[in-house]
Amino acid sequence: MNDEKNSIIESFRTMAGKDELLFRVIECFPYPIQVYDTDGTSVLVNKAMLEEYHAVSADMIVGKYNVFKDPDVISTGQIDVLRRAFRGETVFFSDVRVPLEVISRRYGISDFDVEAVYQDITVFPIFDDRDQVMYVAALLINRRIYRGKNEIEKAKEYLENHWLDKFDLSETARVACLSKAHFSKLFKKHTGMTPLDYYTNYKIGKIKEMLADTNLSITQVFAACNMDYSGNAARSFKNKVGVTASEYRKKYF
Amino acid sequence: MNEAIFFQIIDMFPYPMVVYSPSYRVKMASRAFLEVVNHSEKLLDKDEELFNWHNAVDLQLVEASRKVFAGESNRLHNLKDPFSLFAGKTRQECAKSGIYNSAAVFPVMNDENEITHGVIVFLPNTCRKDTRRDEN
Repeated sequence: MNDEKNSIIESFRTMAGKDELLFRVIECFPYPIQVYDTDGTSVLVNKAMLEEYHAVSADMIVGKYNVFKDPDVISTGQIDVLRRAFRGETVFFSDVRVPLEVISRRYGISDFDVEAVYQDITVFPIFDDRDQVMYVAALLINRRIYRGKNEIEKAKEYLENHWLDKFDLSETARVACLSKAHFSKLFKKHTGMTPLDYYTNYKIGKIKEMLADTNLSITQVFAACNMDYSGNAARSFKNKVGVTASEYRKKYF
Repeated sequence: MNEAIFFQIIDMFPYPMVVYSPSYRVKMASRAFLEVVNHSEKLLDKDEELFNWHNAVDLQLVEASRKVFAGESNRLHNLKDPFSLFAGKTRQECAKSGIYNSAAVFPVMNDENEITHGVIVFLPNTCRKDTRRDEN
């Protein structure tokens, strides 16, 4: 079994013919893909994965990194969910903050030009011809990227992490280490909108996303976004989008 | 066996994905794609052109799927009916198609940097964004 797996890693360098296309698709894939052995050890990373981590060579990850031994993965408390993928299920982790500081230390990267990255991670099994899990693949798609270390980026990150909570200007200004008045002025200067408008627009973006799920009623969509459809929320949606939520769904979905 | 592994990664890929040739024949598709457009794998064996340019609702997807052969990669969002590009399938004819409103379209190159295939991956809309530092 181990020989067979080693040959698969080696095949990345020697593949030809029809295999070549399959390999190229994965290699050219614009999102990071990592494949793990059944014990959680990395056996394969694609080019996008290496670029994401600033040209760390595959040798630094393949055969060395083990997802089950990663303290950051363990600290999420999601190991049991992850194990389900190794038992044959596809599992999805939404909006996971990438531990850039840890990665930076682990691989000696000094030139990360981003402050924070949040990813949607889909982990799915790869079966052998006896329907046993042979490998597990993880697809990582960047959902939010924050570049720069300024106060406004921190505030945006805070607002987007707390969009389900009630808008709190004091707390947002505190995260940005500014007084409320100075923060509001600076935020508008940099983004062209007030922090409240930014928060509201983000929330409406979430409602629009959820309206794509036609299994949910409009009321359920608003409720899932912590908004009451019968209240001001419906009016606010129409004011911002130009049509009602129901009209929006009919138009686009 | 190697081929089986790479095939499995694509076949088991959780999102609809198609690999197509410069003559717009679908050469490979994930199981998720075949499920959404209600196609059987046998259709792919016939090497038929599954692209239906005239019925496609999302013109930016049409453009992007052609531009891959000029080396362009594109990430598209807020697509209205992306699967209408395939054999004129409407959203109503496609199972679960409504959740896929984004797509990544990219070329596949060989060792000589020649583009041999294009790939479309359909993704759920996630309001992906890249928040850049304001220079002012």
